Amino acid sequence: MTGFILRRLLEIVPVLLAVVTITFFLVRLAPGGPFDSEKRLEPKAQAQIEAFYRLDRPLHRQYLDYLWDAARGDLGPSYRKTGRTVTEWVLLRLPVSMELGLYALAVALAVGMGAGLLAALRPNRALDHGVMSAAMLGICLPGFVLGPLLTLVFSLWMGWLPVAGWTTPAHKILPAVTLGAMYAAYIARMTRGGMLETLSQDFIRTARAKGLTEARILLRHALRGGIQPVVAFLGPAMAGLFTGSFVVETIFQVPGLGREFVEAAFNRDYTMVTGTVLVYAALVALLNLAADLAQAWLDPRARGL
Amino acid sequence: MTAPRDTETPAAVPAAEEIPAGRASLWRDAWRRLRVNRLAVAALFVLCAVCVTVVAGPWVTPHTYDAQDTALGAVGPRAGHWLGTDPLGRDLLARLLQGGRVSLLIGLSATAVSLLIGVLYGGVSGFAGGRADALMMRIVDILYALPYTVFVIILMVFFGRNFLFLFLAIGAVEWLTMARIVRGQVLSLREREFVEAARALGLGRARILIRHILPNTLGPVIIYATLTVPRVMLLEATLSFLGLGVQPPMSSWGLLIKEGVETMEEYPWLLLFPSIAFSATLFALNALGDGLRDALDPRTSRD
Repeated sequence: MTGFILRRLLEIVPVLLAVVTITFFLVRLAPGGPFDSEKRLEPKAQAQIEAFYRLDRPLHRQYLDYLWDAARGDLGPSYRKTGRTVTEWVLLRLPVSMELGLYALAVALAVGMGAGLLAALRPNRALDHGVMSAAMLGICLPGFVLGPLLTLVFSLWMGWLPVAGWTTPAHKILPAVTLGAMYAAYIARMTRGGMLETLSQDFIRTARAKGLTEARILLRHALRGGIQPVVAFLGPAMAGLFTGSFVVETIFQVPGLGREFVEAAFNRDYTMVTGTVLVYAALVALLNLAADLAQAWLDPRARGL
Repeated sequence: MTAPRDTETPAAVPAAEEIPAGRASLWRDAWRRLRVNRLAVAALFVLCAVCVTVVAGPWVTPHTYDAQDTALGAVGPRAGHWLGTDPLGRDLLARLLQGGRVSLLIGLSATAVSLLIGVLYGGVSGFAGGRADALMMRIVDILYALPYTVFVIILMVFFGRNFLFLFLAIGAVEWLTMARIVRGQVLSLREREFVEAARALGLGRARILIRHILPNTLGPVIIYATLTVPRVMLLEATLSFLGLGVQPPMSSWGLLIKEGVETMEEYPWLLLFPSIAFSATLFALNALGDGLRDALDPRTSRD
């Protein structure tokens, strides 16, 4: 097991290296620099700025410096937001995104697994069809459609919830629901599929023959196998929840990493873009690893891999 | 000399199902299964209707998508403007139809790009086998781990919001799964007798791959392509929503939703109609994709 974890951790390194390399050169190859659109500066001030951000060095030198600093956790100074380094900005914004992601995950798991279990209890009946149609609808309602619609109804028309912001618990309901809805829909479909497959297996018939109650069969025996597709999906899902929230954070003006990234991209803030992308990639890789470990714990057959 | 496509998948026909007399090809068989799936048939019908409407509609509507009537301003649905107008007095129906053209065009062309790259890459990788295959799939694994939405955003910001570039960028990141699917198929197909026969006939490797192996991967490719179209349309709409995709006065469904959100308190119809059109089309595409998967590949049931 330790060897498995170590090997997987080592495999993350080339991925992160690829991410940093692509992002680093992509933003620098693009026409226009971060200090171009401003008024023309005096040559001396320009030189000073370039020296401060090390832009006067050759490109490969900048790249190696960046790698060396990033490996030690220093993502450099922000080009636009002075006063804090990129690492400090990330540490400030990331917890907000993680918090939003966790709430959304809670919504997705509670709603999705509940709906999937209900549907699997009586397959191909009215309730099943209703739940599955709702799930399909959820998949087709992306955040930028659902979010504004929810705001329109619950904030503007009903006046129950605040429109945007991230201060009180009431502020956090709409973003969490908006972000979690699509994942709830996927999880509902997977739970249904996994449960149906498990329920058709022999050991369930044995459990029924033993005279166990249906609830006990479902929760004690079938659930462990039935939710395996969901567990396998959790890694990508959590990665998506933590990183794919640019839209939701933009709609509800949540001060998270997603909005920071979009802003930085618009502002051509090289270091901020590279830094946020690197943090995202690391998060995705670690979450996928965690999901694989959880799967191995649930299914002994997967441990040999 | 073509590959024996008809007899390819005897296992695909469930034993319990009644097999009609005569030779049922894979495709006729699949069509028969698709026809009884009411949701998929309805989805197919809706999609055809959407396609006809957005292609023919802009020629029929009395207004063009960019004709402004600032004296009129934003008005709700009424005679002459069935879906109302936006604050610049532009007819929403005309903008919706034009936006549908753009969204569908991007969805289809980006899917075509991803199809081309994915099928060729996966086909070559699976057919080559050995170390080349391992290397090519390792590259796909690494690319898989990249946060690709992030890269599309970076591409769009830093390299201009060009229409052509938009679907090239999207297509270029959506091919990975397609490559994996095709490679898996090719790996098992290349050991089959008809490939051996083709080889014995002295055909070249490229010809065997393109004429004999790839056509047999068509089923999974069609299924996945159908499911790629809504994903691409979603990505396009997300980009347009963030202000990185299609630029005004051009129109796309994502852009219309963005404009609708900006004024949703005063003019809710500007948000509602584009949202309905977009979500209904996504729904239909996903339902059709699911139906095709059930019809073409009955072994994998609904997830």
